[in-house]
Amino acid sequence: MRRKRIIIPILAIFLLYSCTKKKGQEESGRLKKFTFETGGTLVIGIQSDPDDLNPLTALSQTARDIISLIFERLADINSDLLTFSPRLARSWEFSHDSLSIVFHLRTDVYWHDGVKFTSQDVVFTHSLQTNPETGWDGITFKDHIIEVTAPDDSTVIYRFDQRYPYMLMDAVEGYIVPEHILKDIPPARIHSSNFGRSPVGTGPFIFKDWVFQQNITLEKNPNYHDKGKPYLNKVIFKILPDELTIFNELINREIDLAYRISPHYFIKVEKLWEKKKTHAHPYRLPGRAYDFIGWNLFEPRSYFEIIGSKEGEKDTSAIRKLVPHRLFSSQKVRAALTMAINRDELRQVVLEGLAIPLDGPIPPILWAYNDTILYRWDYNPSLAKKFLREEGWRDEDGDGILEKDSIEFCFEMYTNAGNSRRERAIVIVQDQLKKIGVKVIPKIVEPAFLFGYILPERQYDAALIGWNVGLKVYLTPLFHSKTFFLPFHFTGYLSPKYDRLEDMALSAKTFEQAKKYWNEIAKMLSYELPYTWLYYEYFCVAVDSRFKGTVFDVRGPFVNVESWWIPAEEKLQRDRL
Amino acid sequence: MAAFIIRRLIISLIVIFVGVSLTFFLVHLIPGDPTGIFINPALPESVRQGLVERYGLSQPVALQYLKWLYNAVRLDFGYSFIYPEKTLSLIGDALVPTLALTLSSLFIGVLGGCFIGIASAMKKGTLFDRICSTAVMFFYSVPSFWLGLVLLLLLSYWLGIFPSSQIRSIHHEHLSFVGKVFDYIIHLLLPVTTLSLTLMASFAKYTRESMINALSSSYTIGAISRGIDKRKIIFKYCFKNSLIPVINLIGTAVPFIIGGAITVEVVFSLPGMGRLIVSSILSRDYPVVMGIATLMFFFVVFFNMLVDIISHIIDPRVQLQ
Repeated sequence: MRRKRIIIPILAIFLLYSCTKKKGQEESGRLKKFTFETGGTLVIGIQSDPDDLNPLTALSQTARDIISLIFERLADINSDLLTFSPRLARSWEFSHDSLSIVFHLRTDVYWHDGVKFTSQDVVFTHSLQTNPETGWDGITFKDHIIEVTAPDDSTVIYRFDQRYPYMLMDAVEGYIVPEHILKDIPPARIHSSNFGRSPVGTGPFIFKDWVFQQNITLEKNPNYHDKGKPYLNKVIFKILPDELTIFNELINREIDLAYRISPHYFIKVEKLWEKKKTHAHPYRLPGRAYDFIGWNLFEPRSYFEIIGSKEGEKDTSAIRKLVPHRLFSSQKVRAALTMAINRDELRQVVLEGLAIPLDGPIPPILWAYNDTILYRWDYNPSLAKKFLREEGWRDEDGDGILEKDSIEFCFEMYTNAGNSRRERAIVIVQDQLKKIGVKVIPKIVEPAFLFGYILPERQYDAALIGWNVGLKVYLTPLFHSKTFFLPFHFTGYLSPKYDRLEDMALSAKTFEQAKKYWNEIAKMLSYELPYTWLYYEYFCVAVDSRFKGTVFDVRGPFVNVESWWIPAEEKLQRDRL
Repeated sequence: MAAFIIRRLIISLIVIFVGVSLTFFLVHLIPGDPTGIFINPALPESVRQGLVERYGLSQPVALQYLKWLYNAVRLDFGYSFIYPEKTLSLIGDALVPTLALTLSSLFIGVLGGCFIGIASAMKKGTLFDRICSTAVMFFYSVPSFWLGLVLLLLLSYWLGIFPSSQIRSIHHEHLSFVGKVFDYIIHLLLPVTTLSLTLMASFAKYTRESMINALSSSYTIGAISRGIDKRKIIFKYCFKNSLIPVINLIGTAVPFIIGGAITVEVVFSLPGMGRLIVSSILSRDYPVVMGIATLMFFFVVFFNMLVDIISHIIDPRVQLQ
């Protein structure tokens, strides 16, 4: 009797719960006609606080995402990542000598504090961007701009030292900041100024508050120059460090948008969406990140002894004293290792198929990508073994590990802790290479140690890491000899031919001319393999289906938030607060 | 008493000084620096070097330490390397949720633990005692993150009764005063339950053992034989005597409570010190790490001193040496 008394209420709660759920799902109707209405709140789940909300000093991707809703550029890049649409500039034209771009600015733009936006703000922003004391990370975009002038309040002229394809991109790179707020702050002090915690921009949303480790709230800019927009009243970035929490809050409609979702959770969202059990609409987008294995081409010890111990000897004479790596200095060995790694299996296991193959340094989203010219090192363990045999590697003592001149084919492979994708990948690579007699010792270390010491000091044999792709095709920090001693050139790749080709590609006058050189570079690197490119990830986004007018593409999830709206029929209670 | 407090204060200051100094050198001697986390190949070397200069990392560690110590004495912990905010302000923001979580968990844990311990000891060997002991052993053994995840899954994700994250809802400002208080309570309920259940188990275990010893001691038997009221015997004699080890346990439990709070804050996305210290360590935000370390040392040392004084007040036989 007592047991019945307990079971009945529990059953009742579960029945009530399941009924409530079904009702909610039936209401979701995805093919209805909707009534347009402004208002509503977009809640976005992010995993950490932004480092800063000042566009001149912010470095984290989260900060850039939030900043993109508060500030504006002169022009926005289009989804082809090649052409631009007007934003703060109404239009622009090149001068007769093609060495200047004249921007005609909008005259109906106001800063969020009510002050009018003028060309002086653009000139001031450029002066801060190019001042090394400011510490703006995009300073190299302005390398060829020799002068920015404002003949009147609505005109700005950018003058360049040479003609090249990226002139417009370089000119419009970086958000415009208000002169009237920042002019009295010395550039070296801007990073610690209050502007980073209460930014004032011209964008569709006004910064309201930032409650540390909780949320960042933006409100509709009622004086936005694109009249009537934004349609939403509020955008809230909710900081949720745990991915499981983000997933569950997305499914339970506590947050509306989640991006950079890991494959494990994204597949779950997709399955729930297919079964109509969630309002979260998943989107697979071409991403901006890839993973690779970087091979150290020089002996770690020799780098430390010759370069690390002697300050100031960072020149070509020092490079000549470096000892080639016992394993990876041979192209044939690198090719063998690449062929021994089953990258399809890796993509399936590690990323649940949410990635595409990558064989060269230029990812598919960029205009210079050309997969027809690349060398392909498809999975072929028997050919890999043959290559290694030709290089003199044999298992002489029968222990399953190859040897040459009494040296075992054994090396350490590093990756950063906290990235479960790479932690799993390194174990699979270890297993795959073991099958051809190569012993890999995985080393999983914290990111600051790996990127702040191990790689810059070249104290490694191989590293499985990844890069985010910029909008420009620019490989100088990774492979050009002039960056040999800088932290990101950690493979030690050196090739005069490569240097010449990249110099020509970067100084070409048109994209067509440049593409010819980039093709050569991609072909060359895909053959020489300073990296073994593993996979190129999808960018996974899910947004609540009540939001209409959303555009997601290669530029990310914040392309047109000002045009998002929620139909009157689909508004939640929190949309009406 | 005054001499004891002064002596303990001096010792405490020395302990804090040695502790934070060791922490400073340990944190700074780990290879790698905060600029390493901005892993963007397009980041110009001049900007990276600028960051190193800005953070003062190009100076010798000993000089950095002396500068830090000089400023810390004046309660100036500098600016965070990562956020455009003073360290003390960041810590201040994070301290409130952590204090709310730890103090309420400690209060509930101690009170509940003592109650269960006493009840269990008094009904030693009965079904009630066996159930309590099993439950106590269970909650004593399970890690708080696991318990937190189970509660989160059950009461938040599946049944939707409690919010799954944060210390307040995103529409907190639209609520009335009572609504705001309720909003805080409902957000803190699961994290406090998680942390206090673990604490409750520890305190119940110790109180039970302590009470059983007190109940079987000669002075209790003597009191019973003299016909003194049972309640008086339990609460005035036995409980008071068994309280001393329990109070000492509070002192030693403080570091564990802080450790537990770190886990619970991460599981429930609470904006407290736990999350702040984890993210600061990972991003090598030295000023914040040092600020939090100083505060933690202070808390632990201060709590232990307080426990000694309370023990002396309860039982003056406990010597303050």
